[in-house]
Amino acid sequence: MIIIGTFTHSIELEHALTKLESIGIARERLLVVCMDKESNTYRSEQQSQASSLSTGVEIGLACATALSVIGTSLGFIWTWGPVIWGLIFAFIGFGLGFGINAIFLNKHATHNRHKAEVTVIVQCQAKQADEVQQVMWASRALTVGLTQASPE
Amino acid sequence: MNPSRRPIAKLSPFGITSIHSCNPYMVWWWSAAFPGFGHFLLNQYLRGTFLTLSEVIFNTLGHVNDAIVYTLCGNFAEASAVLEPRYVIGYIIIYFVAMWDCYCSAVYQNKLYRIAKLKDAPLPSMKLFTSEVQYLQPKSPLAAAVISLFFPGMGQLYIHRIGLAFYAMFWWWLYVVLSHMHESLVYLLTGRLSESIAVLRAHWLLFMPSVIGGSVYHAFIKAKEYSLLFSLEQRQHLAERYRSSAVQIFGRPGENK
Repeated sequence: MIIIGTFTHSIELEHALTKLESIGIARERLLVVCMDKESNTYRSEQQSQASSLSTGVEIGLACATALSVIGTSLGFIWTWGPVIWGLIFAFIGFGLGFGINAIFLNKHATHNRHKAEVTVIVQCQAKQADEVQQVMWASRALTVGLTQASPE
Repeated sequence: MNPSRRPIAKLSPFGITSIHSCNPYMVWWWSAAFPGFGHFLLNQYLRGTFLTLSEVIFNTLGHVNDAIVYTLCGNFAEASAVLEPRYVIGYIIIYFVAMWDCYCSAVYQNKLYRIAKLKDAPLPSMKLFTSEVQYLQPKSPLAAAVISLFFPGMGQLYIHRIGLAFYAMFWWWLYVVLSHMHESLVYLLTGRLSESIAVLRAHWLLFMPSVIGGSVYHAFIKAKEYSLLFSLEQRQHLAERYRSSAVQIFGRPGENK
């Protein structure tokens, strides 16, 4: 008898596994598979995009710092006052620094709404099947399935 | 075994301290909103605390918030007059260096996180201290954000980051009292509009949008991070405990039922 349950990562999942072991399911009769929601190769592409932008921002911030101090000081004699001139110079500085380096890349985010994060497969005697399913449902299993197609 | 050279998380009486992949632009922006907030997001709580103290002290001495209000109201002469040149130049230097520093740290922590994740160092799951209990737990980012919106610091309490929680609550009380914000709200709710505006103190009021925003973002993002940590730790545990599974779904070739 094979019983398959899917779970989210939760303390209830740990409770279910501990409970299953305590009702006499040997640890070797449990197969726990952690499911990935996204591919690793896709993630690594996103990270390289992020780091290509970072140099531009670092230079932009450095220029913004320098120019903003100048702008704020000049603001004491210019009509709009130190705050606006400080801000304007900061933006100009950032634009100059960032503009030299930046390459803007669009992110295309895909969302995966599937909730199952862990699949628990239990191989047990037919007489234990009810109890195993009960433990799974009581521990907030998302789905529970049962099949007899296995040598026991 | 030696402690890992590239650990991801540590539990202390003050909460979870961890390395995470984050968006450096958001860290940078929150430092711009309130110096020190970017460092809080990077789990650099000590320097974040000192930077926020420095921000409040020198903003107050330099009358920076008052000048911002005058400027945005178009009263440029008053804005120039109220600013204290003694403090303003230093304030601006600290302000920008704090932004630059936490942006660079965010980029570097992302690199550290990538390495640490590959090394898969063992994560802690819970720890008992003499006067505290700390553990990884999935937390709702929405709940954390909403309660920090009502009272900054409460979201941090919810996600177990208690040092920052009480620091934020203390300061929020000061802002509320000094800006007369809650009095103003009561006037507003009872329909006395002009009194509700007159009672406000601009200098202290102007800190509040940044503090609310920063507190909400911190609680939200940390709740997400801690939930992820919980999943990662559980995966490590499950992989370790059930690695020797003998479950055979299809049986060996040629074997009959």
